[in-house]
Amino acid sequence: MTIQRLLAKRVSTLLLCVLFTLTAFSQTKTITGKVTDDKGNAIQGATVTAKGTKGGASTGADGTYSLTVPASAKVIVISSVGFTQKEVPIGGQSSIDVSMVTSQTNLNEVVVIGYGTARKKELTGAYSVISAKDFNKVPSATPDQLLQGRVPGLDVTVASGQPGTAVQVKIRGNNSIRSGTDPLYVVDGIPLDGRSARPSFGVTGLGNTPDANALTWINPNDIENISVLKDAAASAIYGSRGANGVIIITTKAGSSGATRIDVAASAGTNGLMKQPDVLSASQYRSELAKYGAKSDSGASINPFNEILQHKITQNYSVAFGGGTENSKYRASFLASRTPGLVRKSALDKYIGNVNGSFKLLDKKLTFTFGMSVGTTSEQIAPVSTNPGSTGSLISNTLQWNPTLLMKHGPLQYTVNPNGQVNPMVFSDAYNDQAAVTTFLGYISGAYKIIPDLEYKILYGANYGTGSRGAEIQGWISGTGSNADGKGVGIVQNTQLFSQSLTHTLTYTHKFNDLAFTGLAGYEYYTTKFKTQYSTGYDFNYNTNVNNLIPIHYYNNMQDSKQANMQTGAGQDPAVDLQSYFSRLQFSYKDRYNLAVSFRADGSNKFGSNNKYGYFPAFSAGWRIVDEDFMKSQHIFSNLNLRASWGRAGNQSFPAGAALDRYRYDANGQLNPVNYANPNLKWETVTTSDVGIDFGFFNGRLTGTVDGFIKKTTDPLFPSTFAAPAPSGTVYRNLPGYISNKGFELGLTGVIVQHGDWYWSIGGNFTYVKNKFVFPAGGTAPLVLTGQLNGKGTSATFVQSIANDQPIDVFYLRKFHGYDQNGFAITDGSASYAGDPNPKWTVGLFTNVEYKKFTFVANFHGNYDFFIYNNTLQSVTGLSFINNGSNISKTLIGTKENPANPVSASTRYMFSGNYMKLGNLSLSYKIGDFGKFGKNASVTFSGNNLFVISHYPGFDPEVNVSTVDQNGTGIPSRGIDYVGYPSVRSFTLALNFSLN
Amino acid sequence: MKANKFLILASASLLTVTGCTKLDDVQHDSIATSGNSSTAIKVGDLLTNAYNDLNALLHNQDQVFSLEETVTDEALVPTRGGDWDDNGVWRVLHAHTWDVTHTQAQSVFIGLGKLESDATTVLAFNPSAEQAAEAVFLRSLAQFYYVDLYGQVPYRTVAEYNSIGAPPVLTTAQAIDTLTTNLAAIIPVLSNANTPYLASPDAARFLLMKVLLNKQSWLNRQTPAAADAGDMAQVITLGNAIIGGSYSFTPHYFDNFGPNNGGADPGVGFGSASKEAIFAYNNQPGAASTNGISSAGIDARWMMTLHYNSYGHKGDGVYGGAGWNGFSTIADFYNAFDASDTMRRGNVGYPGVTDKSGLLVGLLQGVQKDEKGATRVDRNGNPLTFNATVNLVEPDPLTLEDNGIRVIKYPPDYGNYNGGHQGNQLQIFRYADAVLMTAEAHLRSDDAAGTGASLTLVNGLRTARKAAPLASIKLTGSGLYDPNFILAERQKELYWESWRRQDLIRFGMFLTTWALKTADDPKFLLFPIPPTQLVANPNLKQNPGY
Repeated sequence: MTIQRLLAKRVSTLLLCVLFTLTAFSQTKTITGKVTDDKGNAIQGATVTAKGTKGGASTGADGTYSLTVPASAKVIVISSVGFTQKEVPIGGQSSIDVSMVTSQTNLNEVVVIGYGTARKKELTGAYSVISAKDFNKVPSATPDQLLQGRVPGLDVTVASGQPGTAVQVKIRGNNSIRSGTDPLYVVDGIPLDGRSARPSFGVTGLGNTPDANALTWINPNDIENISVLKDAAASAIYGSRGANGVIIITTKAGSSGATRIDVAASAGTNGLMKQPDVLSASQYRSELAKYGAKSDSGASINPFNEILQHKITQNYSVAFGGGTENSKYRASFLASRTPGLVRKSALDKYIGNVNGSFKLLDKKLTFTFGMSVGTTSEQIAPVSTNPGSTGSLISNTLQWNPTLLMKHGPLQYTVNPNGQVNPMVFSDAYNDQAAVTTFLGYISGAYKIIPDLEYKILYGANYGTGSRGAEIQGWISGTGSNADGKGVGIVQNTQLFSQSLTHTLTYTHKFNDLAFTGLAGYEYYTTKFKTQYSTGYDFNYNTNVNNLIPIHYYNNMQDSKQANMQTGAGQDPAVDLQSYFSRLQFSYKDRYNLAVSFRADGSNKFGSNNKYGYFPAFSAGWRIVDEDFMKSQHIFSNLNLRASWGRAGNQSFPAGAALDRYRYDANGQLNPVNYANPNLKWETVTTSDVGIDFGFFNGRLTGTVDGFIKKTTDPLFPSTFAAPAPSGTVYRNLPGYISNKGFELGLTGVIVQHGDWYWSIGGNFTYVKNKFVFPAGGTAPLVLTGQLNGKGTSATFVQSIANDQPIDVFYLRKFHGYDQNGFAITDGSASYAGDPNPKWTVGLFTNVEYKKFTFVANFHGNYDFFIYNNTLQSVTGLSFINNGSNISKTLIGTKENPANPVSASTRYMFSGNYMKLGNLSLSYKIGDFGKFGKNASVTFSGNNLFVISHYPGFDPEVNVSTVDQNGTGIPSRGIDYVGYPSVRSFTLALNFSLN
Repeated sequence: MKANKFLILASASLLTVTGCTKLDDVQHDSIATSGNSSTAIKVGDLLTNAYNDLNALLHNQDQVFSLEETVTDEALVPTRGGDWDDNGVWRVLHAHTWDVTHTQAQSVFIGLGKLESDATTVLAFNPSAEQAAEAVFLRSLAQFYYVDLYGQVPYRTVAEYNSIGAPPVLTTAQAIDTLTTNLAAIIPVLSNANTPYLASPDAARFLLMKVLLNKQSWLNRQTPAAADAGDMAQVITLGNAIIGGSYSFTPHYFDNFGPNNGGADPGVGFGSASKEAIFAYNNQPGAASTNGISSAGIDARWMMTLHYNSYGHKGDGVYGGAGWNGFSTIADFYNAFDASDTMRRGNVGYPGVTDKSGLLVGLLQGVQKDEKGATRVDRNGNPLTFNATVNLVEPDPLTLEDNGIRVIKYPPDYGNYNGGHQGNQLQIFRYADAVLMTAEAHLRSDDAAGTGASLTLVNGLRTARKAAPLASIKLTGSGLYDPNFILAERQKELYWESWRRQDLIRFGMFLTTWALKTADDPKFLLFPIPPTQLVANPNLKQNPGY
């Protein structure tokens, strides 16, 4: 062999290994066939293996497979998610077609759990797994929106209609006093930081625009399934980050078979879900007359029509993947444009993803990699969560006198005689652009040291960089900011970089009837966050509406008066987390399951006296249905009893909170910002859970019921320093606790399964009672929270943290109507008035299939909670009619006097109960077409179609601010204040595959 | 295969080792230190930081100013329909019906704590003797307000400067001793230059005079004992030291507060800078900072009181927004000025202000005009008229914006507007007050007749203000506005300078009735300790009655 030939052979061997080529077996035969469901539809992605051998084939989009098996093979096994596994004797056949039977719960299905997988039947913790076919059909959704209303115990609140804004996700109640109640997100084994790299800033007078969603860079079409880890048995393996539950996102991988291309395209329109609660021009006129106010300007307009836009939403997604038994790959690309409903707001997304998995070294080594890059660009409207008295675009529009034109012609803006900002001026003079690029890359190697022992290393890097530029042009007036007459420009950049390195060793073995899985692991995680900004005001151009040039201040900062420029930069201390963990799972006779897990987490954030935290969990399950005595009954198709106990932590307080720290600020003064708390540590959530998984009547009625008790001890509390002290708050672990007790029920019933008809109804119901217990706090509020913004509301707090009350309980003077002069009669002092935390979270869904049609409707709702309508108090209240402002429709016929003070009371607290038709879709399966076209379908869907609620406001779900309003680190909940209105959208989507 | 296995295990263990970390908390944008030995901490910058704490605390309308003024007869913040309710915090102050949850009582308590803490931190980082004396002055100022407002003084020893535990608390009597000792000790150490923006011997003397004068009323607020003769003698000595200094009455009263009061902007006012500043906050016109002084916030002095349309139209871009339409005073106070005393009462023009926007200075009453003499209008389109009538909750939608006499003590600095910082210096300790305190000490010790040294001092001031001399001056009066009552004279000179509450308590008048305050309870002689502080510091005790 010459060297060249040797090289050629080496290279080709290598290529053969790396590039998905099959190794030939001796003494084999090939079996082909097609796998279909009971209606004859092709099943794609079903696995076909020869029993007793390793490896297998996957079916293609047309359901066909081709499997090479040893000549000795007797039986083939066909399995697919959602179907009962089937075994077929080979006999002498070389072509075997298989029809699969739908199963409601495939208990042999393998689900992703923390640092591993488990068969569904062996699970002893509270997990919910939602696969792609059950996701909500929301155009351009972030992963959290896909689950809204679908998972028992999961409360998802989409808090703003601006595309791409943060979504509030709470698993089984409110565990924590301060912010940081979001679950931990784990994508393909890589824990995310949870923050977005989009700079968030406030502009004087306008306030802060809503936070960006940290998951916008994930292509929803790439998601295979999402596991929600709810109890400690499930989440304690994530230690000090597991207390709020964990959401594990698993992305799609290539399946073996011919390369397939999946194409999805959709387009849609949007509109207001609900008309705003203000007077029409004619109603306004009659109210003006009633109050002797003189602001009728003669015209009749609907101010909202001026600031809304109706543009087409577009989504295009292509994915292709394929491979062989030993080498699989998948790549995808998504481009989408989601114009916002409010003028000059939009979200564009471009997301590319590549992953592959290769088996090497006689299949002992599995090498996997994935790379995802998402770039989003946002245009943000001047709608903030906390505008002051001069308002935001929404408050200005709500208040705009509907008898006054906003514009008389091009650049002819009306000056409001009462000094209010003209919303058109605000919209035209305000520009705000943000771009975020997020990269997630991971690489992993798993090596089977012996057949039962696998070592795996996983390294992941998640880098996000964001830039944002905003301006208020100088020709605006009345915003109360530095911009008036001068202009303001802001530029900000941020970088967020987190890395994780995980080593795991997994041993699985079956000793007769005892199946054992042992896991040991080490993880190192680090994350850092940097930001740089510059602001300038007093620009030389665009200060006069008649002479505007199309150059944004944020692209031309040097034009501002140098003395008025300010730059700054900061870097948060890196958070380093070092962990050791282990889990042991035992399954005896597939009936008696036991799991024990333990994690030790060390963090550089923790105080010097508490560097490591320890998080154990125990759980057990009894599959009653598999007992001998159950064999003869036909009622239960599944009956499994579970119980668990465990501890997980929450460490989401700022790094550096445990140190003495001094910072130089703009004036060269050295400011002590923090004095050390060496005892500072994570807060601990101890969860006990008892659950039953059940199925009746051969799987026609299936469900899960869980009861849980969660107790947060050592709750982190941004407590006021005992004066004398630096300003701000010091993080302490309070000697009290937070309790969340409740139960959840998930049910799915197949009502009709007959011929061409299939109809199922499902629902989930979660009840959580939340309470903060701190007897030393006495009966008075420990801290007032829920600070209002807006006219006449400085230093007005409507919520509190108090002993024996739910977190954020409303603390208000009770309102008892109006006296004969129209002034409010209220109690002299405030009392605990209501709970902003929904006690009931409900999801309802139905699925009707007839021949090739599928109809799906998903409702979600929250019950038994209160919302504070600060919009009604501070923006559309009666007193403002005398300033030429519009007022709420609900005030027609009121006995209130316009001079009645705008004062917080239960007058503005309303029941927030709602049920919303979140999404509805009708699909038609066209099926295969042409030579290569497969599985084509067309879907028409609608989102936010209607809401059933007595709440007077845009929407009891949207516009409910949950931000930290008062700088204490304690967020408020359930305060409605001039948010971005909820969007109703309709989308037409086309999906097909080619192969 | 063996080799492969080995290779993988070896690289895995290597990665494991390199992955290990000591979990150090590394700071990138702040200096972390666990003690006071860090060379990165420059004590001078810590001292600057402590001075800057005075900015918000003394400028803002809702901090010390509010607690010392809006609880008295000379200031109130009526609720005007949709504006200025702020959950009723203002109304309860004037009416004396506040409770433990009052947010201003909390924020001032915390703000004073920051000043005290930052001053104590300076002492922990090896300051020079003079820096230490300055820090002691600032710490004393915080303790002075603590004892005045709350009757209790939480403090930290220098060794415990960075503790987050419960700090010890001085009683009123202990605080008086501490203040007296510390202030006396720093007078010889501080710089004799008597720069008004730094702690100086005269500033320390002034503060010590306040402590000694208020001592008996602090010890027993409801029924103060007679003044101690020795204390009064000391006040007179301290006062004479100040009077013998380089201060003099400013020829035009409002020049003490105008844009040129620090001498930086001779183009406005009547031409003279204030020579009455013993301790002032240095607001740098235009710029955000010079020499580390954080400057801003003086605009609250006029914004808090002016109507939205008081000058320009809100947002017309000329002088920004005029005001927030809140603070007013009552007719009884306006009427207390005698006919000769119009310089201090005002409602008069001021060069550089009135010619630019029509705005007058002093106690503003009546129809408001612009610079051309045209009538300004309110948001209902009616002439903007500051009526003497005022209510805690304005009942008439058509006059609620207009009611209440407004108070422009600080003429706005129009030369530095629209985002720039205004150059008026905030007067914290003023010479005229030192003169009046000396007069009061004479009355309390050696001049009960009120016709001796005290009258000379008072009439010296009145003459400087172009007001007719008084025949006598007394420690008691027939009412709040008895012209011979030294309390009334102090009010006319020092209104809206954050002394009224302390004066009313010292003269035993705080619980009497006045316009829009009927009943009262002795508990209001002190503010409540904020509940969050009671939880954080068990050494504090809630004040009686709360």
